[in-house]
Amino acid sequence: MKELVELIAQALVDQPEKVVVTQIEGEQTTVLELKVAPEDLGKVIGKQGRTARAIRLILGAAGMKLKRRFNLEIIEK
Amino acid sequence: MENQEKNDDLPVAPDVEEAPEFKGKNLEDAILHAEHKLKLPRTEFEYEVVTEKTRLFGLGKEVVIRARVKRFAKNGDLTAFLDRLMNVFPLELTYEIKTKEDISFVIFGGEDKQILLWKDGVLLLAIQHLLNKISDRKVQVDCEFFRKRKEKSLRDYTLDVAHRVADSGRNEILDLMNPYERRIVHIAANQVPGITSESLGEGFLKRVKIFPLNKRTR
Repeated sequence: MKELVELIAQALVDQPEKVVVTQIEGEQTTVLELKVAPEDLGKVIGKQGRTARAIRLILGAAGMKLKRRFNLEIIEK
Repeated sequence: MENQEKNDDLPVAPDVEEAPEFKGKNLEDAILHAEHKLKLPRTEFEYEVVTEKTRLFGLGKEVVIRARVKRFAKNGDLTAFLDRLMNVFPLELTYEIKTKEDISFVIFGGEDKQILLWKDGVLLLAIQHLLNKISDRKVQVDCEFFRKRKEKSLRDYTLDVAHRVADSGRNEILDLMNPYERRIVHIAANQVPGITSESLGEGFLKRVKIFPLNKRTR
C-alpha cells in the first residue's frame, strides 16, 4: 500500500524525490506516514483538505478489498 | 488487465495538420485570436507569420499568422499514471480513455467496479479529483453510466420538487451540492413554468433554493 500512496503523492507534488512514505503495521490498522517537501504540503492536502480526503478514500477502498484498515497521516516536518 | 486508448466513439479534436490562419492588428492580437479560436494556450501551438502589411491609407497594420497545433502524446500523463495506479491498487479495474475536445473521459470497468460506485460514487469522484490535479487536461470519470443515471435521478428529483413548489407556492431548499450537480438542478427547475432557483451560501458546496417566480403566492 506504500507504493500506492507514493505513486499518488509523487504525481501531485513538484518535488517527487522528496516524497517519503513509511508504513507502520498495527494489529488491525496500517498507518501510512506521508512526508513531502514543505512547499508541497498544500498540494497533497488540497483546498479544504479535498485532495487528502481523496487519497484517504482510495485507501479506504483498497482496505475494503484487502479487509484491512489503512490510515493516512500527513506529517509536517 | 486490458488498457486501451480508444478514440473512435466520440468525435476527436482533430490533429490539425492543415494550419489555419489568424489575423490581427499586430502579432499579439493575432496570437490572441488564435488562442481564442483554437481554445489552446499559446504554448500548445506553433505559429509562423505569413504576412505583415500596412493597410491602405496607413490605417493600422495587419498581421496574419499560421498556427499549427503541437502534436504530443494525448493523455500521455494520464495513461502513465493510470497504468502505474492499476499495478499498485488492489482493486481489479480496467480503464479506457476517450477524448473529446479538451476533456479526457476515463471510463472504468472491471470486476471491482461496484466498489467505485460505493456510497454514491464518492470513490469515483475522488479519483476524478486526483486525475484532474495530475493531468493538464480536464478529466471526467465514469463507470457503468454512473453519470447518466445520477443526472437523470437528480433531474427527476428536481422536477418533483419544482412541481411541488409550483403547487404549494412555498420555497424549498435542497441539500448541499457541488457545482456540477447544481447546474443540473438549475436547468431542471427552470423548466417548470413560474419556478426558478438560486444557490445559497459560500464555498464549493452550496444549497439550492427552488421558489416561485412571482411572490403573489396563494
